[in-house]
Amino acid sequence: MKCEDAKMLIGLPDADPRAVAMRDHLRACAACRADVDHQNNIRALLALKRYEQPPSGFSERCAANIRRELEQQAATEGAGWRLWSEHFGRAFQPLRLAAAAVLLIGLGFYGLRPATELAAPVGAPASWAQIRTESASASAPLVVATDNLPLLMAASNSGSLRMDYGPGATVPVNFEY
Amino acid sequence: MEAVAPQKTPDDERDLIRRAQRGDLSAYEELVQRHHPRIYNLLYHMTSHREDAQDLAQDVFLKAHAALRRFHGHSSFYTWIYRIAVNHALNFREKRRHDQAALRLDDMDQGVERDPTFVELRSRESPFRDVTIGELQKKLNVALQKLSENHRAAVVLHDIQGLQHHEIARITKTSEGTVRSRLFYARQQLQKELAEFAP
Ligand SMILES: [Zn+2]
Repeated sequence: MKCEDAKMLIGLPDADPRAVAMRDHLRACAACRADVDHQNNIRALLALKRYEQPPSGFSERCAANIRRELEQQAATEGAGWRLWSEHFGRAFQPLRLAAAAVLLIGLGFYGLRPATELAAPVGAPASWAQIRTESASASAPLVVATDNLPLLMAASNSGSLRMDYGPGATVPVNFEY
Repeated sequence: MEAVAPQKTPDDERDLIRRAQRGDLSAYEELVQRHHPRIYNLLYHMTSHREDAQDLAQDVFLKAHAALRRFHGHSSFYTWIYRIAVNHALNFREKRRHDQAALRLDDMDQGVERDPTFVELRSRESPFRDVTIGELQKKLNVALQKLSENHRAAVVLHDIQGLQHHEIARITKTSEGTVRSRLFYARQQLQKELAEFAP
């Protein structure tokens, strides 16, 4: 073993297979033995720093401060959201009302359908033509409806997915827009 | 004196982590109480500045809380939080204050006077015989702060905090060989700085 290698193995656990060669080298090499002594002296000196400890109760006080800080953060985030909805939420009020109206009209329309049609079994559409896309702007969710069932489905705007049309009827649909 | 670090996350701690992940601040406060002493000591020895260490420790635990949902228990919580703290300390260089503010000596456990190493060093024919604990503390801190951040982290974690090579390798995301090499060169430099005390 060379001296450079031995220096890099100082502190190796005894169980390590290289420890035997290291010990043999140290027995034969005074320079490396001196290095080990220097290293151990510094280690012992540094270990004295373990006595430097903060006053008792210090960590408990710090933990309480950290908790207070987290509570404040949560309160600020909550207040920020309330402020946002109070001031800017009002601007979206007409939009929210319009969305609610569309939903109510849709549900009402569905409820008024003839009972036979409602009782009809739900199956896969017979052809691709039966799937029509009603909206396909890049930012809005895609709404897909079929002719024979009142299915509204929102999908993400990329890749392909499988769309379920009831038990045992799954149709792969590609959305590329 | 600092105890050797636990290898695994204890069961009751796992429960605290789960509760804290669900937003229970009391559970998180208890986790902080458990780990603060070691994290604070690490940051204190890295900066030799008690207020910097206190600020940094607070940052570390706030940062850890924000990232807590991403802790899946693949490593022990102890290793995870230590890694955040070491990274924080390594990136601290830019904001470093220029003065040193060591822990006051009345905060220092007077047990050092009875420490076998201290007693043995005092008995030697060297300047150590006349040095006060305060002077020694100052010299050690000055010498430590002259080391590169990575070398200082290695000696703080190993020689002061008592972690093993493999634990330091995990925390600093490096090999055990690199840890040993950093320790060797860090102590070699410290030996030059402190030759009068550690001949
Ligand atoms: Zn040699």
